Amino acid sequence: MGTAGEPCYREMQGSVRADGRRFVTCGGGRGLFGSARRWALAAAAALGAASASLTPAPAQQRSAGIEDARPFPTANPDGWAKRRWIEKTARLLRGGEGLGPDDDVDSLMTLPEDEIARRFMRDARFGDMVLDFNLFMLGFKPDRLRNGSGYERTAFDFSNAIASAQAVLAGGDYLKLFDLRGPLYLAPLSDEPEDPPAGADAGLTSPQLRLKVMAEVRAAFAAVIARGKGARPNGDWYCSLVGKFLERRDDIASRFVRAFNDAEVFVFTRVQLIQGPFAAVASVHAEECDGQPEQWVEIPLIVGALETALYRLDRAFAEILKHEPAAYRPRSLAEFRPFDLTALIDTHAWLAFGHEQSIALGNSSTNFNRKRAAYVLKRFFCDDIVASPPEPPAPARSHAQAKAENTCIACHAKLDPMAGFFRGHGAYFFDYGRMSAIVFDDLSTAERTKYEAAWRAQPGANREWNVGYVRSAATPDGTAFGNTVEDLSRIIRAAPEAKRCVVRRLFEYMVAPDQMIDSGWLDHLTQAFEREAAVDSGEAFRNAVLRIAQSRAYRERDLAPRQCYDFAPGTNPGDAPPCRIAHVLKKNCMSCHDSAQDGDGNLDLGRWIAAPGGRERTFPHLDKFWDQVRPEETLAKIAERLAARDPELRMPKNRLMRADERDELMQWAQQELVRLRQRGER
Amino acid sequence: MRRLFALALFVMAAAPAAQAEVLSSQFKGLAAASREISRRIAPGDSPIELGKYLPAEDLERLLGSWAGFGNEHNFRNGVPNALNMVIWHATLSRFAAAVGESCATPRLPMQARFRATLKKVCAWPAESARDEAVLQAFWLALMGYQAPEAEYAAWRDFFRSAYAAKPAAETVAAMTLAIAMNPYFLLHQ
Repeated sequence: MGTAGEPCYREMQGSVRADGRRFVTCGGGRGLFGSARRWALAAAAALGAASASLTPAPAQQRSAGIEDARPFPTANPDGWAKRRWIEKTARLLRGGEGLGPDDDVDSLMTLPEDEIARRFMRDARFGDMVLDFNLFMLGFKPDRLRNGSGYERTAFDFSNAIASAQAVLAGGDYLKLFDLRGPLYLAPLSDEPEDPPAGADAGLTSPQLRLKVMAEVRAAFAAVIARGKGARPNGDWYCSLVGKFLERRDDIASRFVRAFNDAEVFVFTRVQLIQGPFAAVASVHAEECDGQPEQWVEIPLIVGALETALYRLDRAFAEILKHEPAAYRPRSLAEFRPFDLTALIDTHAWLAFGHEQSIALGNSSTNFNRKRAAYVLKRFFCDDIVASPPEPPAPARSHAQAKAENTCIACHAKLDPMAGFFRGHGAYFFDYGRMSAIVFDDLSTAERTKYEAAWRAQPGANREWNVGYVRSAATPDGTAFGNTVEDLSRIIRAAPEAKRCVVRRLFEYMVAPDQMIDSGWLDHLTQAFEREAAVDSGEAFRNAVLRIAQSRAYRERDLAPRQCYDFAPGTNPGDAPPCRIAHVLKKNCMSCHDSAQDGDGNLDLGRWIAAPGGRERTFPHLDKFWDQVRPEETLAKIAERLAARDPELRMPKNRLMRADERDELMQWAQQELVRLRQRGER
Repeated sequence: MRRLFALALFVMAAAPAAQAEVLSSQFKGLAAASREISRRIAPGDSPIELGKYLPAEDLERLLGSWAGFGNEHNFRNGVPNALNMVIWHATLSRFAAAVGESCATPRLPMQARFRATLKKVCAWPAESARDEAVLQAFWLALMGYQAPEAEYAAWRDFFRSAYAAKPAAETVAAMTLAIAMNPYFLLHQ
């Protein structure tokens, strides 16, 4: 049998390598390989070897000319490892672009790793990495950011991801990632509208069609304005004319959008590009025309409103046209340009959720934004309540209450207050905050004040809304209350959980999404990130990248997913329980269970010793005769106490334990129990 | 060839059940593989799009992909299975054939440095093409440093022996396919 991970191109017995060592013997079959990669290797081997013969390799001669150009010294395995690290790091930090012929690898080889990484971070392509990571963190990572020399439209979708990545490049604030309101980055306009030009539009290019629809809107306004100028028309007549014009706004808007694709129409709808100016005119029209005698109608005011609306439209059109592909095709992230929101009527900041996010995070009249709440908890706080339901409030006394706790409250206590931040946002995250009704993505409608009453705080609560980030329903003191999306951004910025989440996702992005990370090491990285981010979050991000790039897990070729490779300074992993639970125990249990002699339950959860018989390892745990308890009994007791509902039995006693940590510990204990029992049966 | 391929697929298909605990290695996906290959061998302004070698349209998502619309994106279809291995093999065979055919007439955009390396390998089976430095340069041009050195040694020795008398186009295509189908190239690292 060969060794797992050894190269195997065909069945060979006892071949000798060029370096004199025995070549791997591969007989095929399941026992040879230990993971999916090995199975893939087997496939590659079988395919590659399909037409192989058993001719032995003849001795080789080298040509002198090529020898000089050798790209690396073969006799230096350390050199190979460093070159691999350089290539991997280049690929990571340059948006997927590894080493190429224009890279002087020999020169890089002379530099220390941190200097190499910092060089790559000074490259403009580092912006692509930060943006790609931000999209990964936000749950919308694409396969590719670029298409040829330009960027895919999806790269522009999440504006806070762009703002944050640009900030890192410019030495600014990486934590702009948490600002849910900010600039709008409109992608270069599409070369293909959603529907191909037809009828009178047939044959027009996209830029031509865009100019045409803008001219149509201008002409519609100009015609009404012209009738109000010169000799004063009859007030009733002009009010009627403008009223009819206002009634055509939906028609004008729908004709306008035929020149654009869905993503562009989404942006123009949310910023009320056409409807906004109409609304301003409608307001003046209502003031002057409703119930007024003809002679009291101030026609110049109506005309002025129309002219102002047209001026705003012209400004907005000019801003849109700056995004024609002929004029705007950013070649790097630094060249992404924010849309000038001052060109719009009253959109001062853009809600970060773009076209795709608005579809993915739709709401309805019955889900009360809970999908959006679950998204924020998962993506910004790494609190996935679907995968790991949170801890319910303190146990109730009645059966009915207890049942409700188990089934509903645990999740809703966190979800509902978070959902309240979006209570004014209906379909496509459109802001209905100033309207009397709200429309949802399922096209149902609700009266807004009635709908929002779901989040109104009870009298005497000292706050208007039950809206906020609930850390734990069991200990409401940790809740950060707020009201608006801006408050949510502020809460995320201040929350240590969000910074820990950034570091954790960065590890997953750089190493592997399902790779186990030691909680102590994660905390160690997070503390450094928090400390540095308080001064310069861009530099803190770069340093976090560098720390992970220099970790063991990053260097390892064949990672075991449930193994930890890096630990906090001062940790000796051999003396501690497995990494997946060691930090959980330390954080939640060891203040009481810290000694088999003096600790509660005669249990020491900080040490990991040989069990009686020497086959297994276990926690020091003494029974009433001061004999070591069998590992199975210790594990069964741990699982029982973790699952207990009785507050007298439930562990940790009178303390809060994060749901994901309880889940992790429980899973581990149960898996160990199964393993020990199976081993006992054998 | 067919029997070996079928055997490999059978073995792979049986793997997930037995190895569910250690399935962390997933394909990097066609987009990432295209980027890597392009960076190594294609001119900056003419990237190689491996999707063009797919045996049929819309198969890219079966090779491991973040793409999606209307839902949060998760990496899908990244775990090797019988179906996606067939697609990878078909795709990379076509790519490898293009590299092999480029010994006579360029079939894909190439940087000057890779063209020079390819030219030397295309002298196969001449002694100069079997040179350590030539083979190593060709390996590195396609694989980079992702694989351990032992992988290179095994690949080199295999071709020096099994393909000792084969023509250049066939050998270069087989060399390319062997590199591209290597798990160190295909899998996320």
